[in-house]
Amino acid sequence: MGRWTILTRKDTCDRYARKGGYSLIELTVTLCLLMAIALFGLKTMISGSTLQNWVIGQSMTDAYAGIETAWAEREVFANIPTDATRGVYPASVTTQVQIGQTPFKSVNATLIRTYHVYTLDAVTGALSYLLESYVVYTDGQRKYCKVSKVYRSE
Amino acid sequence: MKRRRQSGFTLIELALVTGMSVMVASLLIGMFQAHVKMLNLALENNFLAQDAPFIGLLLTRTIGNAEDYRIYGSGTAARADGTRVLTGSAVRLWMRQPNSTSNITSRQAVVSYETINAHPGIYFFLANAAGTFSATPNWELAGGWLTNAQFDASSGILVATLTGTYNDWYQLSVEKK
Repeated sequence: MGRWTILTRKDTCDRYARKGGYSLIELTVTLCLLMAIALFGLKTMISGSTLQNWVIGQSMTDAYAGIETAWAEREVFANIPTDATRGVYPASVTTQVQIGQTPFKSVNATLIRTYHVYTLDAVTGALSYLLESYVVYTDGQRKYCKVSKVYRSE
Repeated sequence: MKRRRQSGFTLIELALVTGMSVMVASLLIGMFQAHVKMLNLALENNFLAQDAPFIGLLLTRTIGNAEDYRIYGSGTAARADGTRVLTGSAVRLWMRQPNSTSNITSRQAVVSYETINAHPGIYFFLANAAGTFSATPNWELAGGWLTNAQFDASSGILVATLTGTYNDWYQLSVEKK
C-alpha cells in the first residue's frame, strides 16, 4: 500500500460521510459535559464562600460577645442601676453596633442589653445583678444569637 | 447520472454548531469569570476567616496571663516604659513568675505591632531578669495578612483591633478573663 492510499477520495468521503453526524453529537455532548463540570465547580465555590462568610460572622459575634462579657465584669457596680445602656428585665435597650468590617461591607449586629436585679438576698442581704447581653447577627435568612451573662454581687 | 454522496456538513449544520458553540462558550466564559471572582473573594476573606481568630486566640492567651498592662504608642516606647496612652500599638505586660526561692516576682513583657527587618507583625519581647529588653523579639506572634493592630483601653477594657490587607478588621477583648 502506497503512502497516499489512505487519502484517496473514496476513503475520505466514506469516512466523513459515516462520522459527520456523530461528530456533531460528540461536540454537543462534550460541551454539555463541560458546562456541567463548570456548574458543579461554581456551586462548590459558592458553598465554600457561604461557609467562609458563616465562619467570619460566627467569629465576629463570638468576639463581640467576649467584649460584652469583659465590659459587664468591669462595669462599676454602683453604676449598674443608672446605666442607660441597659434596661431592668423585662425591659431592654436595643442598639445597632458594628462588630467588624469585611473587605466589602461593614458587619453589623443588634445588641440587646438587659439586667436582672436580685435585691437583698435572704441569707446574705447582698444586692446582686445578672447582666445579660444578646448579640443578634443576621446572615441571609439565618439569624444567630450569642449570649453573654455576668453575675455581679456586692 | 447517480449523484455522488457529499462529504462534510451542510450550511445549516455548521450554522447550528457555530451558534451552539458561541452560546456555550459565552456561558463558559461567564462561569470562568464567576470562578475567578469567587476565588478572589475567598482570598480577600482569608484574613477574617482564618488569621484573625487565631491571632485573637494567641493575644488572649498571652495578654490574658498578665496581672497588669499598660498601652504605649509604639513598641520602642513600651520597651523603654515611655509615655503611656489609652490607644496604641504596643502593650507592656506585668506577669507573675515564681523564682528559685519560691518568691513571686514580676516579669515584664511587651506585645507590639511593629515592623522588624522589613517584616510587619505582632512581636513578643520578654525582659530578662534585670528587666531590660533585647532589640530582637523572642517570638513573632502574627504576620502575613495583618496590616495593623491597635490596643485600646478607653472604654475600661482592653480591646484589640486587628486590621487586614483590605481594610477589613476584627475586634476582640484580650484582657484577663
